[in-house]
Amino acid sequence: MKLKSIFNASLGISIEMLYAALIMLAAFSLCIILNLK
Amino acid sequence: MILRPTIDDLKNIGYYLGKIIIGLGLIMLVPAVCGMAFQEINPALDFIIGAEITLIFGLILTKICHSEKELSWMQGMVVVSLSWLVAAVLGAVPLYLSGHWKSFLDACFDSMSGFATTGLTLVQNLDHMAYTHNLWRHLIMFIGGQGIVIVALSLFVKSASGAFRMYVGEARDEKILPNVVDTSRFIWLVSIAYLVLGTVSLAITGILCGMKPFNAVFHGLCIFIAAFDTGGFTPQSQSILYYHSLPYEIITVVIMIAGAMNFKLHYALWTGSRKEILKNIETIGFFITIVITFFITAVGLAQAGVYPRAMMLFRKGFYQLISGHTGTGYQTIYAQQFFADWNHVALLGVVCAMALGGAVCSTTGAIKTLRVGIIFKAMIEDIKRIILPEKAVVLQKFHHIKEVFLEDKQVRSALLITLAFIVLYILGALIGMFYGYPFFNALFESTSAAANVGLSCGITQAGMPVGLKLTYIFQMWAGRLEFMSIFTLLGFLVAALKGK
Repeated sequence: MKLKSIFNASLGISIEMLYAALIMLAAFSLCIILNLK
Repeated sequence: MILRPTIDDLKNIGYYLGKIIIGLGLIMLVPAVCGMAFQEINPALDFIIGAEITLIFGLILTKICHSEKELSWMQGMVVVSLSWLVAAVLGAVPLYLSGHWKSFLDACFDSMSGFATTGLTLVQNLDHMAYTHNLWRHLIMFIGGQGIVIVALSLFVKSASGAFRMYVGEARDEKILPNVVDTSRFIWLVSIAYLVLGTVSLAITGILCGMKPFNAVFHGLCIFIAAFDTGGFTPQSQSILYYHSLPYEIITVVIMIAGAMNFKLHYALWTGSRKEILKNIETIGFFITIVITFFITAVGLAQAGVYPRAMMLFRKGFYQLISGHTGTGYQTIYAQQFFADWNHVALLGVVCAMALGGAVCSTTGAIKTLRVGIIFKAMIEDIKRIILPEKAVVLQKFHHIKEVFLEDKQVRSALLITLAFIVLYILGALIGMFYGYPFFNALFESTSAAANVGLSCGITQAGMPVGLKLTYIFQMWAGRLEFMSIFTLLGFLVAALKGK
Protein backbone atom coordinates (compact mmCIF):
# COMPACT_ATOMS: atom_id res chain seq x y z
CA MET A 1 0.00 0.00 0.00
CA LYS A 2 2.81 2.35 0.94
CA LEU A 3 4.70 1.55 -2.24
CA LYS A 4 1.58 2.35 -4.24
CA SER A 5 1.23 5.78 -2.66
CA ILE A 6 4.90 6.58 -3.36
CA PHE A 7 4.36 5.48 -6.96
CA ASN A 8 1.26 7.69 -7.20
CA ALA A 9 3.09 10.67 -5.72
CA SER A 10 6.02 10.37 -8.11
CA LEU A 11 3.63 10.04 -11.06
CA GLY A 12 1.85 13.14 -9.78
CA ILE A 13 5.10 15.09 -9.68
CA SER A 14 6.07 13.99 -13.19
CA ILE A 15 2.68 15.07 -14.56
CA GLU A 16 3.16 18.48 -13.01
CA MET A 17 6.59 18.69 -14.62
CA LEU A 18 5.07 17.71 -17.97
CA TYR A 19 2.53 20.49 -17.56
CA ALA A 20 5.34 22.97 -16.93
CA ALA A 21 7.21 21.64 -19.98
CA LEU A 22 4.06 22.02 -22.08
CA ILE A 23 3.75 25.67 -21.07
CA MET A 24 7.41 26.25 -21.96
CA LEU A 25 6.94 24.53 -25.30
CA ALA A 26 3.87 26.64 -26.12
CA ALA A 27 5.77 29.83 -25.33
CA PHE A 28 8.77 28.72 -27.37
CA SER A 29 6.54 27.89 -30.34
CA LEU A 30 5.09 31.39 -30.09
CA CYS A 31 8.59 32.82 -30.39
CA ILE A 32 9.18 30.75 -33.52
CA ILE A 33 5.79 31.74 -34.97
CA LEU A 34 6.66 35.38 -34.39
CA ASN A 35 9.35 34.65 -36.97
CA LEU A 36 12.24 36.27 -35.28
CA LYS A 37 15.41 36.81 -37.17
CA MET B 1 -26.61 48.20 15.61
CA ILE B 2 -22.94 47.33 15.97
CA LEU B 3 -21.98 45.53 19.15
CA ARG B 4 -18.88 46.74 20.92
CA PRO B 5 -16.36 43.87 21.38
CA THR B 6 -16.26 42.55 24.93
CA ILE B 7 -13.20 41.96 27.10
CA ASP B 8 -13.65 38.24 26.38
CA ASP B 9 -13.36 38.90 22.64
CA LEU B 10 -10.12 40.79 23.14
CA LYS B 11 -8.78 38.10 25.47
CA ASN B 12 -9.53 35.37 22.97
CA ILE B 13 -7.83 37.28 20.16
CA GLY B 14 -4.84 38.08 22.36
CA TYR B 15 -4.49 34.47 23.48
CA TYR B 16 -4.39 32.96 19.99
CA LEU B 17 -2.18 35.78 18.72
CA GLY B 18 0.18 35.08 21.62
CA LYS B 19 0.36 31.41 20.63
CA ILE B 20 1.29 32.33 17.08
CA ILE B 21 3.96 34.72 18.35
CA ILE B 22 5.42 31.98 20.57
CA GLY B 23 5.57 29.74 17.48
CA LEU B 24 7.44 32.48 15.61
CA GLY B 25 9.88 32.88 18.51
CA LEU B 26 10.60 29.15 18.50
CA ILE B 27 11.23 29.18 14.74
CA MET B 28 13.77 32.00 15.27
CA LEU B 29 15.85 29.49 17.18
CA VAL B 30 16.42 27.55 13.92
CA PRO B 31 18.68 30.24 12.37
CA ALA B 32 20.24 30.79 15.79
CA VAL B 33 21.32 27.13 15.92
CA CYS B 34 22.37 27.18 12.24
CA GLY B 35 24.41 30.33 12.92
CA MET B 36 26.32 28.46 15.61
CA ALA B 37 26.91 25.61 13.15
CA PHE B 38 28.10 28.05 10.46
CA GLN B 39 30.40 29.60 13.10
CA GLU B 40 28.65 32.94 12.68
CA ILE B 41 28.42 33.91 16.33
CA ASN B 42 27.28 37.54 15.99
CA PRO B 43 24.44 36.75 13.57
CA ALA B 44 23.41 33.87 15.83
CA LEU B 45 23.23 36.34 18.73
CA ASP B 46 20.92 38.58 16.65
CA PHE B 47 18.50 35.68 16.47
CA ILE B 48 18.79 34.82 20.15
CA ILE B 49 17.89 38.43 20.96
CA GLY B 50 15.05 38.36 18.41
CA ALA B 51 13.71 35.05 19.78
CA GLU B 52 13.88 36.37 23.35
CA ILE B 53 11.88 39.49 22.52
CA THR B 54 9.34 37.47 20.54
CA LEU B 55 8.94 34.74 23.16
CA ILE B 56 8.60 37.25 26.01
CA PHE B 57 5.98 39.19 24.04
CA GLY B 58 4.08 36.01 23.19
CA LEU B 59 4.22 34.59 26.72
CA ILE B 60 3.02 37.86 28.27
CA LEU B 61 0.15 38.00 25.78
CA THR B 62 -0.95 34.41 26.48
CA LYS B 63 -0.69 34.93 30.25
CA ILE B 64 -2.67 38.19 30.27
CA CYS B 65 -5.28 36.98 27.81
CA HIS B 66 -5.54 33.37 28.98
CA SER B 67 -8.72 31.91 27.52
CA GLU B 68 -10.24 28.47 27.03
CA LYS B 69 -12.92 29.57 24.57
CA GLU B 70 -13.30 28.69 20.91
CA LEU B 71 -12.49 31.30 18.29
CA SER B 72 -15.48 32.87 16.62
CA TRP B 73 -15.43 33.74 12.90
CA MET B 74 -14.78 37.39 13.53
CA GLN B 75 -12.08 36.71 16.12
CA GLY B 76 -10.33 34.25 13.79
CA MET B 77 -10.18 36.82 11.01
CA VAL B 78 -8.83 39.49 13.36
CA VAL B 79 -6.16 37.08 14.65
CA VAL B 80 -5.06 36.34 11.09
CA SER B 81 -4.72 39.96 10.00
CA LEU B 82 -2.95 40.95 13.21
CA SER B 83 -0.62 37.95 13.17
CA TRP B 84 0.81 39.02 9.81
CA LEU B 85 1.48 42.54 11.07
CA VAL B 86 3.00 41.44 14.37
CA ALA B 87 5.10 38.75 12.66
CA ALA B 88 6.44 41.34 10.21
CA VAL B 89 7.51 43.65 13.05
CA LEU B 90 9.00 40.93 15.28
CA GLY B 91 10.60 39.08 12.36
CA ALA B 92 12.35 42.32 11.42
CA VAL B 93 14.24 42.50 14.74
CA PRO B 94 17.09 40.08 13.84
CA LEU B 95 17.23 41.53 10.33
CA TYR B 96 17.67 45.06 11.66
CA LEU B 97 20.34 43.91 14.13
CA SER B 98 22.41 42.58 11.19
CA GLY B 99 23.15 46.15 10.06
CA HIS B 100 22.18 45.41 6.46
CA TRP B 101 19.10 47.63 6.62
CA LYS B 102 19.25 51.41 6.92
CA SER B 103 16.30 51.73 9.30
CA PHE B 104 13.94 49.52 11.26
CA LEU B 105 11.20 50.43 8.77
CA ASP B 106 13.35 49.01 5.97
CA ALA B 107 13.78 45.79 7.93
CA CYS B 108 10.00 45.68 8.52
CA PHE B 109 9.48 46.18 4.79
CA ASP B 110 11.65 43.16 3.99
CA SER B 111 10.09 41.14 6.77
CA MET B 112 6.56 41.88 5.49
CA SER B 113 7.78 41.18 1.97
CA GLY B 114 8.99 37.78 3.21
CA PHE B 115 5.91 36.84 5.23
CA ALA B 116 3.65 37.96 2.37
CA THR B 117 5.88 36.01 -0.11
CA THR B 118 6.43 39.10 -2.22
CA GLY B 119 10.17 39.47 -2.75
CA LEU B 120 10.64 43.24 -2.94
CA THR B 121 13.68 44.14 -0.87
CA LEU B 122 15.46 47.17 0.60
CA VAL B 123 18.53 45.28 1.80
CA GLN B 124 21.99 46.79 1.53
CA ASN B 125 25.04 44.83 0.44
CA LEU B 126 23.17 41.54 0.15
CA ASP B 127 26.13 39.78 -1.44
CA HIS B 128 28.08 39.98 1.83
CA MET B 129 25.30 38.95 4.16
CA ALA B 130 25.83 36.18 6.70
CA TYR B 131 24.34 32.75 5.87
CA THR B 132 22.27 32.96 9.05
CA HIS B 133 20.42 36.13 8.07
CA ASN B 134 20.01 34.89 4.52
CA LEU B 135 18.50 31.68 5.86
CA TRP B 136 16.00 33.69 7.93
CA ARG B 137 15.00 35.81 4.92
CA HIS B 138 14.06 32.62 3.10
CA LEU B 139 12.63 30.86 6.11
CA ILE B 140 10.08 33.64 6.65
CA MET B 141 8.93 33.08 3.08
CA PHE B 142 8.41 29.42 3.89
CA ILE B 143 6.49 30.32 7.04
CA GLY B 144 4.49 33.01 5.28
CA GLY B 145 3.80 30.85 2.26
CA GLN B 146 2.77 27.74 4.10
CA GLY B 147 0.86 30.06 6.37
CA ILE B 148 1.66 31.36 9.82
CA VAL B 149 -1.80 30.13 10.59
CA ILE B 150 -1.13 26.60 9.42
CA VAL B 151 2.01 26.47 11.51
CA ALA B 152 0.01 27.55 14.50
CA LEU B 153 -2.78 25.14 13.71
CA SER B 154 -0.59 22.12 13.19
CA LEU B 155 1.33 22.79 16.38
CA PHE B 156 -1.01 24.36 18.88
CA VAL B 157 -4.70 24.51 18.18
CA LYS B 158 -6.47 21.48 19.54
CA SER B 159 -10.01 21.66 18.27
CA ALA B 160 -10.67 21.52 14.56
CA SER B 161 -13.62 23.89 14.33
CA GLY B 162 -11.71 26.84 15.79
CA ALA B 163 -8.75 25.93 13.62
CA PHE B 164 -10.85 26.01 10.46
CA ARG B 165 -11.87 29.58 11.14
CA MET B 166 -8.26 30.64 11.32
CA TYR B 167 -7.59 28.67 8.14
CA VAL B 168 -10.38 30.25 6.13
CA GLY B 169 -9.21 33.72 7.14
CA GLU B 170 -5.85 33.08 5.58
CA ALA B 171 -7.04 33.36 1.98
CA ARG B 172 -7.08 29.62 1.35
CA ASP B 173 -10.80 29.19 1.28
CA GLU B 174 -10.95 25.55 0.31
CA LYS B 175 -10.62 22.40 2.27
CA ILE B 176 -8.65 19.62 0.61
CA LEU B 177 -9.49 16.91 3.07
CA PRO B 178 -12.47 16.72 5.39
CA ASN B 179 -10.31 17.45 8.41
CA VAL B 180 -8.48 20.76 8.53
CA VAL B 181 -5.59 19.38 10.55
CA ASP B 182 -5.13 16.64 7.93
CA THR B 183 -5.22 19.33 5.24
CA SER B 184 -2.38 21.23 6.82
CA ARG B 185 -0.39 18.01 7.28
CA PHE B 186 -0.90 17.23 3.60
CA ILE B 187 0.31 20.71 2.63
CA TRP B 188 3.45 20.13 4.71
CA LEU B 189 3.96 16.69 3.14
CA VAL B 190 3.74 18.07 -0.41
CA SER B 191 6.04 20.95 0.44
CA ILE B 192 8.67 18.74 2.07
CA ALA B 193 8.66 16.25 -0.83
CA TYR B 194 9.22 19.10 -3.28
CA LEU B 195 11.74 20.68 -0.95
CA VAL B 196 13.98 17.61 -1.09
CA LEU B 197 13.55 17.12 -4.83
CA GLY B 198 13.99 20.80 -5.73
CA THR B 199 16.94 21.45 -3.43
CA VAL B 200 18.82 18.37 -4.65
CA SER B 201 18.33 19.21 -8.34
CA LEU B 202 19.31 22.88 -7.84
CA ALA B 203 22.33 21.86 -5.74
CA ILE B 204 23.54 19.42 -8.40
CA THR B 205 23.09 22.07 -11.10
CA GLY B 206 24.98 24.56 -8.93
CA ILE B 207 27.89 22.15 -8.45
CA LEU B 208 27.97 21.47 -12.20
CA CYS B 209 28.08 25.25 -12.75
CA GLY B 210 31.21 25.39 -10.62
CA MET B 211 29.85 26.43 -7.22
CA LYS B 212 31.37 25.07 -4.02
CA PRO B 213 29.26 22.16 -2.67
CA PHE B 214 28.18 23.95 0.52
CA ASN B 215 27.22 27.10 -1.38
CA ALA B 216 25.41 25.06 -4.03
CA VAL B 217 23.28 23.30 -1.41
CA PHE B 218 22.62 26.51 0.54
CA HIS B 219 21.67 28.44 -2.58
CA GLY B 220 19.60 25.49 -3.82
CA LEU B 221 17.65 25.43 -0.55
CA CYS B 222 17.07 29.18 -0.48
CA ILE B 223 16.13 29.40 -4.15
CA PHE B 224 13.79 26.42 -3.85
CA ILE B 225 11.98 27.86 -0.82
CA ALA B 226 11.50 31.25 -2.44
CA ALA B 227 10.41 29.72 -5.77
CA PHE B 228 7.97 27.14 -4.42
CA ASP B 229 6.44 29.64 -2.02
CA THR B 230 6.34 32.09 -4.92
CA GLY B 231 8.36 34.51 -2.80
CA GLY B 232 11.30 35.80 -4.76
CA PHE B 233 14.13 36.50 -2.33
CA THR B 234 17.52 35.29 -3.53
CA PRO B 235 20.84 34.94 -1.69
CA GLN B 236 22.51 37.24 -4.26
CA SER B 237 21.54 40.76 -5.31
CA GLN B 238 21.56 39.82 -9.00
CA SER B 239 18.67 37.40 -8.45
CA ILE B 240 18.76 34.38 -10.81
CA LEU B 241 20.96 36.29 -13.27
CA TYR B 242 23.82 35.52 -10.85
CA TYR B 243 23.91 31.87 -11.94
CA HIS B 244 24.00 32.46 -15.73
CA SER B 245 22.69 28.95 -16.20
CA LEU B 246 19.91 27.73 -18.47
CA PRO B 247 19.29 24.50 -16.47
CA TYR B 248 18.97 26.60 -13.29
CA GLU B 249 16.38 28.77 -15.01
CA ILE B 250 14.42 25.76 -16.32
CA ILE B 251 14.34 24.10 -12.89
CA THR B 252 13.18 27.31 -11.20
CA VAL B 253 10.44 27.73 -13.83
CA VAL B 254 9.15 24.22 -13.05
CA ILE B 255 9.25 24.92 -9.29
CA MET B 256 7.49 28.26 -9.75
CA ILE B 257 4.71 26.65 -11.79
CA ALA B 258 4.35 23.84 -9.23
CA GLY B 259 4.16 26.46 -6.47
CA ALA B 260 1.45 28.38 -8.31
CA MET B 261 -0.79 25.33 -8.60
CA ASN B 262 -3.67 24.57 -6.27
CA PHE B 263 -2.81 22.23 -3.40
CA LYS B 264 -6.09 20.51 -4.15
CA LEU B 265 -4.75 19.73 -7.61
CA HIS B 266 -1.49 18.45 -6.14
CA TYR B 267 -3.61 16.17 -3.96
CA ALA B 268 -5.65 14.95 -6.93
CA LEU B 269 -2.51 14.22 -8.96
CA TRP B 270 -0.75 12.56 -6.06
CA THR B 271 -3.65 10.26 -5.34
CA GLY B 272 -4.16 9.11 -8.89
CA SER B 273 -6.70 11.47 -10.54
CA ARG B 274 -4.31 12.27 -13.35
CA LYS B 275 -6.82 13.59 -15.86
CA GLU B 276 -7.67 16.40 -13.46
CA ILE B 277 -4.89 18.58 -14.85
CA LEU B 278 -6.52 18.54 -18.31
CA LYS B 279 -10.03 19.37 -17.08
CA ASN B 280 -9.48 21.76 -14.20
CA ILE B 281 -10.64 25.32 -14.87
CA GLU B 282 -7.57 26.67 -13.08
CA THR B 283 -4.93 24.79 -15.05
CA ILE B 284 -6.70 25.54 -18.33
CA GLY B 285 -7.10 29.18 -17.32
CA PHE B 286 -3.47 29.38 -16.20
CA PHE B 287 -2.29 27.90 -19.48
CA ILE B 288 -4.42 30.28 -21.57
CA THR B 289 -3.46 33.39 -19.61
CA ILE B 290 0.23 32.49 -19.85
CA VAL B 291 -0.03 32.05 -23.61
CA ILE B 292 -1.94 35.33 -24.06
CA THR B 293 0.27 37.43 -21.77
CA PHE B 294 3.43 35.88 -23.22
CA PHE B 295 2.16 36.66 -26.71
CA ILE B 296 1.79 40.33 -25.72
CA THR B 297 5.25 40.36 -24.12
CA ALA B 298 6.90 38.57 -27.04
CA VAL B 299 5.34 40.91 -29.61
CA GLY B 300 6.52 43.89 -27.53
CA LEU B 301 10.05 42.52 -27.23
CA ALA B 302 10.19 41.68 -30.94
CA GLN B 303 9.03 45.22 -31.70
CA ALA B 304 11.64 46.71 -29.37
CA GLY B 305 14.27 44.56 -31.05
CA VAL B 306 16.18 44.13 -27.84
CA TYR B 307 16.70 40.37 -28.23
CA PRO B 308 17.38 39.64 -31.92
CA ARG B 309 17.51 35.85 -31.49
CA ALA B 310 14.33 33.81 -30.81
CA MET B 311 16.03 31.72 -28.14
CA MET B 312 17.22 34.76 -26.19
CA LEU B 313 13.79 36.41 -26.45
CA PHE B 314 12.18 33.23 -25.15
CA ARG B 315 14.69 32.86 -22.35
CA LYS B 316 14.44 36.44 -21.08
CA GLY B 317 10.81 37.19 -21.92
CA PHE B 318 9.36 33.90 -20.75
CA TYR B 319 11.31 33.83 -17.51
CA GLN B 320 10.23 37.30 -16.34
CA LEU B 321 6.66 36.52 -17.45
CA ILE B 322 6.40 33.22 -15.57
CA SER B 323 8.07 34.82 -12.59
CA GLY B 324 5.42 37.57 -12.68
CA HIS B 325 2.47 35.30 -13.43
CA THR B 326 3.25 32.88 -10.61
CA GLY B 327 3.89 35.78 -8.25
CA THR B 328 7.50 34.82 -7.57
CA GLY B 329 9.55 37.79 -8.70
CA TYR B 330 12.82 36.18 -9.81
CA GLN B 331 14.62 38.18 -12.47
CA THR B 332 17.18 37.28 -15.09
CA ILE B 333 17.57 40.92 -16.13
CA TYR B 334 18.50 43.95 -14.04
CA ALA B 335 15.62 45.98 -12.57
CA GLN B 336 16.51 49.07 -14.63
CA GLN B 337 16.42 47.05 -17.86
CA PHE B 338 12.62 46.76 -17.68
CA PHE B 339 12.23 50.40 -18.59
CA ALA B 340 15.55 50.92 -20.36
CA ASP B 341 15.31 47.97 -22.80
CA TRP B 342 11.70 46.72 -22.82
CA ASN B 343 8.93 48.70 -24.46
CA HIS B 344 5.50 49.38 -22.95
CA VAL B 345 3.77 46.57 -24.88
CA ALA B 346 6.13 43.99 -23.39
CA LEU B 347 5.74 45.49 -19.93
CA LEU B 348 1.96 45.48 -20.26
CA GLY B 349 2.08 41.72 -20.78
CA VAL B 350 4.09 41.32 -17.58
CA VAL B 351 1.82 43.70 -15.61
CA CYS B 352 -1.28 41.75 -16.75
CA ALA B 353 0.39 38.47 -15.80
CA MET B 354 1.30 39.86 -12.37
CA ALA B 355 -2.23 41.16 -11.83
CA LEU B 356 -3.79 37.77 -12.70
CA GLY B 357 -1.64 35.47 -10.52
CA GLY B 358 -1.77 31.70 -10.06
CA ALA B 359 -4.26 29.31 -8.50
CA VAL B 360 -6.47 29.62 -5.44
CA CYS B 361 -5.18 27.59 -2.48
CA SER B 362 -1.57 28.10 -3.49
CA THR B 363 1.01 30.59 -2.26
CA THR B 364 0.51 33.08 -5.10
CA GLY B 365 -1.17 36.41 -4.56
CA ALA B 366 -3.26 38.53 -6.93
CA ILE B 367 -6.67 37.94 -8.50
CA LYS B 368 -6.05 34.25 -9.31
CA THR B 369 -7.10 32.21 -12.32
CA LEU B 370 -10.12 30.54 -10.68
CA ARG B 371 -11.77 33.96 -10.27
CA VAL B 372 -10.85 34.92 -13.82
CA GLY B 373 -12.35 31.62 -15.02
CA ILE B 374 -15.55 32.15 -13.02
CA ILE B 375 -16.00 35.68 -14.37
CA PHE B 376 -15.39 34.40 -17.91
CA LYS B 377 -17.96 31.61 -17.45
CA ALA B 378 -20.48 34.12 -16.05
CA MET B 379 -20.00 36.27 -19.14
CA ILE B 380 -20.68 33.26 -21.38
CA GLU B 381 -23.80 32.46 -19.34
CA ASP B 382 -25.12 36.00 -19.78
CA ILE B 383 -24.41 35.98 -23.50
CA LYS B 384 -26.27 32.66 -23.78
CA ARG B 385 -29.23 34.22 -21.95
CA ILE B 386 -29.39 36.99 -24.53
CA ILE B 387 -29.13 34.65 -27.51
CA LEU B 388 -31.46 31.84 -26.37
CA PRO B 389 -35.27 32.16 -26.10
CA GLU B 390 -36.53 33.77 -22.87
CA LYS B 391 -37.93 30.54 -21.49
CA ALA B 392 -34.69 28.59 -21.90
CA VAL B 393 -32.97 27.61 -18.66
CA VAL B 394 -29.28 28.45 -18.90
CA LEU B 395 -26.96 26.54 -16.60
CA GLN B 396 -23.23 27.06 -16.69
CA LYS B 397 -20.82 24.70 -15.02
CA PHE B 398 -17.08 24.37 -14.65
CA HIS B 399 -14.70 21.66 -13.54
CA HIS B 400 -12.69 22.27 -10.41
CA ILE B 401 -11.85 18.88 -8.87
CA LYS B 402 -15.56 18.11 -9.37
CA GLU B 403 -18.26 19.53 -11.64
CA VAL B 404 -19.56 22.75 -10.11
CA PHE B 405 -22.65 24.67 -11.23
CA LEU B 406 -21.99 28.37 -11.52
CA GLU B 407 -23.94 30.32 -8.92
CA ASP B 408 -24.44 34.04 -8.56
CA LYS B 409 -22.78 34.14 -5.17
CA GLN B 410 -19.55 32.69 -6.62
CA VAL B 411 -19.57 35.31 -9.37
CA ARG B 412 -20.30 38.03 -6.84
CA SER B 413 -17.43 37.04 -4.55
CA ALA B 414 -15.03 36.63 -7.51
CA LEU B 415 -15.97 40.06 -8.84
CA LEU B 416 -15.69 41.73 -5.44
CA ILE B 417 -12.18 40.43 -4.80
CA THR B 418 -11.15 41.26 -8.38
CA LEU B 419 -12.47 44.78 -7.97
CA ALA B 420 -10.69 45.18 -4.63
CA PHE B 421 -7.41 44.09 -6.24
CA ILE B 422 -7.81 46.49 -9.16
CA VAL B 423 -8.51 49.35 -6.73
CA LEU B 424 -5.42 48.37 -4.73
CA TYR B 425 -3.21 48.30 -7.85
CA ILE B 426 -4.43 51.72 -8.97
CA LEU B 427 -4.25 53.23 -5.49
CA GLY B 428 -0.59 52.24 -5.18
CA ALA B 429 0.12 53.61 -8.66
CA LEU B 430 -1.51 56.94 -7.73
CA ILE B 431 0.57 57.22 -4.56
CA GLY B 432 3.69 56.38 -6.60
CA MET B 433 2.78 59.15 -9.05
CA PHE B 434 2.24 61.52 -6.14
CA TYR B 435 5.88 60.95 -5.19
CA GLY B 436 6.96 61.84 -8.72
CA TYR B 437 7.37 58.49 -10.47
CA PRO B 438 6.02 58.09 -14.04
CA PHE B 439 2.60 56.38 -14.27
CA PHE B 440 3.70 53.13 -15.85
CA ASN B 441 6.64 52.63 -13.50
CA ALA B 442 4.40 53.34 -10.51
CA LEU B 443 1.75 50.93 -11.81
CA PHE B 444 4.33 48.19 -12.40
CA GLU B 445 5.77 48.43 -8.90
CA SER B 446 2.37 48.84 -7.24
CA THR B 447 0.97 45.76 -9.01
CA SER B 448 4.10 43.85 -8.07
CA ALA B 449 3.64 44.73 -4.39
CA ALA B 450 -0.13 44.21 -4.17
CA ALA B 451 -0.05 40.95 -6.14
CA ASN B 452 2.82 39.66 -3.94
CA VAL B 453 5.10 39.27 -6.95
CA GLY B 454 8.36 41.05 -6.27
CA LEU B 455 9.51 42.05 -9.76
CA SER B 456 10.98 45.51 -9.52
CA CYS B 457 11.61 48.18 -12.11
CA GLY B 458 13.93 50.01 -9.75
CA ILE B 459 11.54 52.07 -7.60
CA THR B 460 11.96 49.83 -4.56
CA GLN B 461 15.26 50.83 -3.00
CA ALA B 462 16.38 52.13 0.38
CA GLY B 463 16.23 55.76 -0.76
CA MET B 464 12.55 55.72 -1.75
CA PRO B 465 10.09 57.93 0.19
CA VAL B 466 8.85 56.64 3.56
CA GLY B 467 5.24 57.11 2.49
CA LEU B 468 5.77 54.80 -0.45
CA LYS B 469 7.44 52.18 1.75
CA LEU B 470 4.39 52.23 4.04
CA THR B 471 2.07 52.03 1.01
CA TYR B 472 3.85 48.94 -0.33
CA ILE B 473 3.85 47.33 3.14
CA PHE B 474 0.08 47.86 3.30
CA GLN B 475 -0.38 46.55 -0.25
CA MET B 476 1.64 43.41 0.46
CA TRP B 477 -0.36 42.78 3.64
CA ALA B 478 -3.77 43.43 2.06
CA GLY B 479 -2.91 41.45 -1.07
CA ARG B 480 -1.66 38.46 0.90
CA LEU B 481 -4.80 38.22 3.03
CA GLU B 482 -7.16 38.94 0.13
CA PHE B 483 -8.96 41.74 1.96
CA MET B 484 -11.66 39.87 3.87
CA SER B 485 -9.77 39.47 7.13
CA ILE B 486 -8.53 43.06 6.84
CA PHE B 487 -12.06 44.35 6.32
CA THR B 488 -13.05 42.33 9.39
CA LEU B 489 -10.23 43.94 11.38
CA LEU B 490 -11.40 47.40 10.28
CA GLY B 491 -14.98 46.47 11.21
CA PHE B 492 -13.73 45.28 14.58
CA LEU B 493 -11.95 48.59 15.21
CA VAL B 494 -15.04 50.57 14.17
CA ALA B 495 -17.16 48.43 16.50
CA ALA B 496 -14.71 49.07 19.34
CA LEU B 497 -15.00 52.82 18.82
CA LYS B 498 -18.64 53.27 17.86
CA GLY B 499 -20.40 50.12 19.05
CA LYS B 500 -22.92 49.94 21.89
